[in-house]
Amino acid sequence: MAQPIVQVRDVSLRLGDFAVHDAGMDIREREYFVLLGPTGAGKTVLLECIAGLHQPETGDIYVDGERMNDTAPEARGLGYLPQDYALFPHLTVAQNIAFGMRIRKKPRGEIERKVAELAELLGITHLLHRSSVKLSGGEKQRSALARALAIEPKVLLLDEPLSALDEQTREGLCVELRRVHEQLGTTTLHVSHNFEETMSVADKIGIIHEGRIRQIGTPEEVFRRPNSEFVARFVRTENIFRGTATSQRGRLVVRSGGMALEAESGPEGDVFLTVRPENVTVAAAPGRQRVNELAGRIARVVDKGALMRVDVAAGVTLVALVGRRSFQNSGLKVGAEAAVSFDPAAAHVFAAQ
Amino acid sequence: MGGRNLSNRLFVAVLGGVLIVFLAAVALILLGNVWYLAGVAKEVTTGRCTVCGYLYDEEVGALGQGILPGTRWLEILAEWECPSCSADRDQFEEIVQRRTGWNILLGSLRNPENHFAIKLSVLTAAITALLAMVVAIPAAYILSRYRLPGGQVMDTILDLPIVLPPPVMGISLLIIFSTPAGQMVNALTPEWFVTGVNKVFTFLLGHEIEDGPNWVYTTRGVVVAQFFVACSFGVRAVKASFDTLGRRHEDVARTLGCTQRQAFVRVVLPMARTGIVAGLIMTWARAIAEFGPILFFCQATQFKTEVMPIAMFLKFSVGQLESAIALVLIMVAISLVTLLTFKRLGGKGYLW
Repeated sequence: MAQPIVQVRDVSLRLGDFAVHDAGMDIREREYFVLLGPTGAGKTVLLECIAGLHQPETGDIYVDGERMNDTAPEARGLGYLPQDYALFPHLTVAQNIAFGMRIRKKPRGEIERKVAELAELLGITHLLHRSSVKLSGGEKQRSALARALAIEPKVLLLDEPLSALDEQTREGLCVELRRVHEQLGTTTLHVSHNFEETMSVADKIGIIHEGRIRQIGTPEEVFRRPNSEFVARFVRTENIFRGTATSQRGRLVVRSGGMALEAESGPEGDVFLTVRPENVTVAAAPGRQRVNELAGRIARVVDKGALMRVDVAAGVTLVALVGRRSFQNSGLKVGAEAAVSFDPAAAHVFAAQ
Repeated sequence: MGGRNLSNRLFVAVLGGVLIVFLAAVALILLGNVWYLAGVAKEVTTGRCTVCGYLYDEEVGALGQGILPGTRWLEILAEWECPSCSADRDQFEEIVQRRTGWNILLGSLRNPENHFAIKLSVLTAAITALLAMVVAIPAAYILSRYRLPGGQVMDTILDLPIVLPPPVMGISLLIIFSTPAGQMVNALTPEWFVTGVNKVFTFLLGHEIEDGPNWVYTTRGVVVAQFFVACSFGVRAVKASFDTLGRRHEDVARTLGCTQRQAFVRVVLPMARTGIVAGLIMTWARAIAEFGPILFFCQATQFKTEVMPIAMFLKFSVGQLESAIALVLIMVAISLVTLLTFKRLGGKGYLW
């Protein structure tokens, strides 16, 4: 496989209240990489460091195999879209998009063609001659994205590109970002604190917390197989139990607070066992099963729209996400007795640090 | 409930009352000048030439004959000749004019000394404002963008002229020019600069300016005195504008291929335009109001360093009260227009 286009090696820096510690990650050509973390995790600092707006205190940043630590931002050839878009208010949308090409002294015809092409791609052709001040949030975002793409960047850096938008616009633009990425194939690093947003756009996710990168993997990996309690909580695993694991008859049994839960495989010793709520079943009566079945009482039901979140108190609390229709058909309600169960194959076990 | 509502309204009404009383007092004090002028009626003795009909106007004087504006008819010596037909003074008949405050106000608008003062004020303040921006834009940018070692010290030095009593800067300037440092400045001031500046002033003010290479007590010294006070205000105003802008746009410009200089010229300056214009107006207003430093560093000399505040002072000190009031009203009008323009531009920030 080719060398990654962005290589971050043991980068540390501190900037006011934000810090990054020994961050390392690779972004491959044409990949859509999302750096996901809660507010204050240091993800924006790391992105700005790659953009060249801050110097790492230790560690190295390579783009296209070239060490970038001492390269000025203007010489890095990276496209940068800040959280507030920062369109130039004294220029029209078209002039904003053309800005980078004009600095590069591209011929006028080429600039015009490229502006028209990007405007078309992003659906902002009708805005080109407007002042950039009076656009809506979504329009600003598209314009700023076009401006960053106009220099044909090696990597596109998006800092929380959707967080300033309302829910509906955000969903639309998520689809849009993905479409633009598929069409142009620009390697993208996107910083986000929103889990759903990340799942819908990412090829690969890096989870960052308190300045440290905790896990890197595909959305599926991070979602199904978190490697730490933090990641498990952050991707809303909901059912997280700490216990002691031992192998018995080819199965892994995790004893936690008087329960014995089974998983297919995993490390022994001090571990966490996690089960995603969508893999938990709730029934009125105990089945003929089996393993991983607990009897309890429904403690709380939260209507999530298409899904219902059902909390069942069974010694510990297990959370299940159940389809609305099937929950209604089951006749279960708060206070009712219920049996909760999950398939050992759906349980994920990892060593506690 | 109703009672509580009433007490709330009463509370707000009391606060509002304080505001309104204060504003009314300021307006009354300034308009009091008009009130006073309206009540003035006095008799002025003057002379009319029986040969050509020339009427001596004490507001205008007769500069050609060395008679300064404000000289009373009765103070003119017998050797004086009619500026219009050269008739002797005894060819003049004495007449008594009745003057109202309005006449005096109009008269002071004819006064060439006042013309000079207005022109000198507007001109020096404009030069000061432009020079201040040349310094303020770079200084404010650095202060706004970089956390510098000794930043506190720099901030304090910058704010000093704002809090110092006016004579301090004037006396200090005077003193520095009597030390080797100031003498070196005098010695290094090139001849062409001195004559050039004199020519420009002479042309724009309509009155001969003949300053030497020494900066003390000169017309160009007025700009120096204004500059060292007003510049701090300029830096503050422009810095407020750079602070609000933040560095996000520059960062984007950098990633789009701008060097730091290109980003400054193409993004920062155009974006800070309103702030810079506001800074210009603010330093201009500050400079035109300057009095103390000019009094000490340039002295109060008619037709030389007589900016409007100095003119008011000179008139007031020789008892030409009505004339001083006329200047006060002109100054209030200029300040009002300046302030309205400033507000119109949305100027804000730490200005005083």
